[in-house]
Amino acid sequence: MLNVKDLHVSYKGIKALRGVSLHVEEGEMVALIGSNGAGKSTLLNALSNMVRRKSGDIVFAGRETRGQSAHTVARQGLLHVPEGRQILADMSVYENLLVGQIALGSRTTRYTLEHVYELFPVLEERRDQIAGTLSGGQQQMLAIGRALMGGPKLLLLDEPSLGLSPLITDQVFNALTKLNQEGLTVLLVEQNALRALEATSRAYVLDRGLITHEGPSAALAGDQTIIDSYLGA
Amino acid sequence: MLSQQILNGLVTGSVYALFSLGFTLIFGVQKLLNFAHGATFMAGAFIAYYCTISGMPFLLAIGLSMVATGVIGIVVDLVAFRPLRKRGNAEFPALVSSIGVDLVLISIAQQVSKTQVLNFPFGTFPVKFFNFLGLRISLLQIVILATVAVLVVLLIFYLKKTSFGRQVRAVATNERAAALLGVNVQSVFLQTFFIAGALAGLAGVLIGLLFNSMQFLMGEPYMLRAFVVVVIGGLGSVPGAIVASLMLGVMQSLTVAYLPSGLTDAIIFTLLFIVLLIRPNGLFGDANAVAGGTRQ
Ligand SMILES: Nc1ncnc2c1ncn2[C@@H]1O[C@H](COP(=O)(O)OP(=O)(O)OP(=O)(O)O)[C@@H](O)[C@H]1O
Ligand SMILES: [Mg+2]
Repeated sequence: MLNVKDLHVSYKGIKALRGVSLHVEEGEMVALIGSNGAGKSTLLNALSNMVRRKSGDIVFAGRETRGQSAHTVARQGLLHVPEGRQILADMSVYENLLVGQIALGSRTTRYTLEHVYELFPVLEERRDQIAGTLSGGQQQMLAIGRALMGGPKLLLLDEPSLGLSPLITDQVFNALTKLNQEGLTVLLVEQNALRALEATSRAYVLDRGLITHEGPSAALAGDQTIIDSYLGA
Repeated sequence: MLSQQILNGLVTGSVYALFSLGFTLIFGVQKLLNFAHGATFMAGAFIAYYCTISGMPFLLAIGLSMVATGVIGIVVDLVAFRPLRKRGNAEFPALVSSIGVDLVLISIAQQVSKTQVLNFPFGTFPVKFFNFLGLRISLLQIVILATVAVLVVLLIFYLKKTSFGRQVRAVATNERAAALLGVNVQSVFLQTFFIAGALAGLAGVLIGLLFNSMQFLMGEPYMLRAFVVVVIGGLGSVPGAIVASLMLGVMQSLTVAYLPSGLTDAIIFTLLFIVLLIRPNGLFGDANAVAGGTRQ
């Protein structure tokens, strides 16, 4: 589904990614963990062509994405739920979902409005509320629901648990697990490493722009160096 | 007499609204000030004039001029804005480059018209007056009010109820998020520039008819007024631009009628100052803007 080879990204001299390779297979839910500034968001932004890569290959659903604009990548079914949710704050919940449908184009998807409302009933209750006035958890659900409306083949999530209470984090992760069980392919970026490893089958660890560990999530969760660096306390 | 002045002011104000809507729409979507908007307005009047005197039916001339000014809008985006946007932090450079386009259009118009004041030939628009309730209103004034009302309703419908309009508002609210959702941001920019250009062009024709006088610098005072309107109404706010335009038209008509002529601009800018003291974001600033909103 996704194949990344030797990806380099720099910001004006700062090397944010220094040769990252990873792959995500159809139906998998894969975690990417790492500390602040490791380059996790940069990686997702490079995958959705929001930042330009310096070198490396990204093949999504059999096609190299180099040179495509971000909206074209989204329309092929690579949907990125960005860090900080980035909902359309001035528009209603329903309008946010409708804008989400633009990425679908002439493709079809099982993720209809009914499906999204079933997954996150609060979005139906708050249908006409201005999205900027939703709580953090509700905004995260909207950001995910909106991406689903676009018919994702691969869903990229950047720190969905950021700023959420444990209870709401549970709800969001349960929804993600359910989506994955129904067949959705997910790449999950998290600082909350424990939660991410519990929810996924395979994981990568990113440190200062390099993949330092990879393997089954359960194995990484038992690895002493990872426990010390990322699962401590 | 007072109500007659208010009526005249509303007619002029409605044309200001047509002109200012495009300006505020572009600001709402791009957060950039398009100072070529004044020359686009002038170009609308000029193109309609030259088409008319070359024998084209007037309605066709207006249509052609709106398409042409819409295309001018697109050219402004492609030439003056897009190259700067790519490099980020475009606010100030874009202001300067749009003034550049403005000056180019003005120079062309100056050459073409040989700095003459142009007038539509007599009878281009039927001269007809109606009296009711002691007011005197011309057919042209009625047509202007009706046209502007219809276009404003259409524009609001387009922004609020269509998928294209939602994409415009999505880009206005959060350009990066919109792109991630599959919205073609560049094409949204081109669309808004086309609409803004076409509305400015029509406003130029209507002002040309209303005052029956057009010259190559006619857009500049309107540019300044659009700026006032957009600031008073709230940057990027469609309802704000409409209300502020009508207010400005009426104020102007009243000050011209009842006060020494030199005071008009002084009063308008005093009003601007007072509004901004009370409401720094304008009358309709921020949250309830149709096209605008805060960039995240
Ligand atoms: N737009 C930018 N311009 C310059 N440097 C940037 C930019 N975005 C990120 N960086 C730098 O690139 C590095 C990686 O940042 P990135 O946001 O990808 O990290 P992250 O792993 O997502 O961190 P966090 O967990 O805090 O979200 C950091 O050193 C950061 O300062
Ligand atoms: Mg990040």
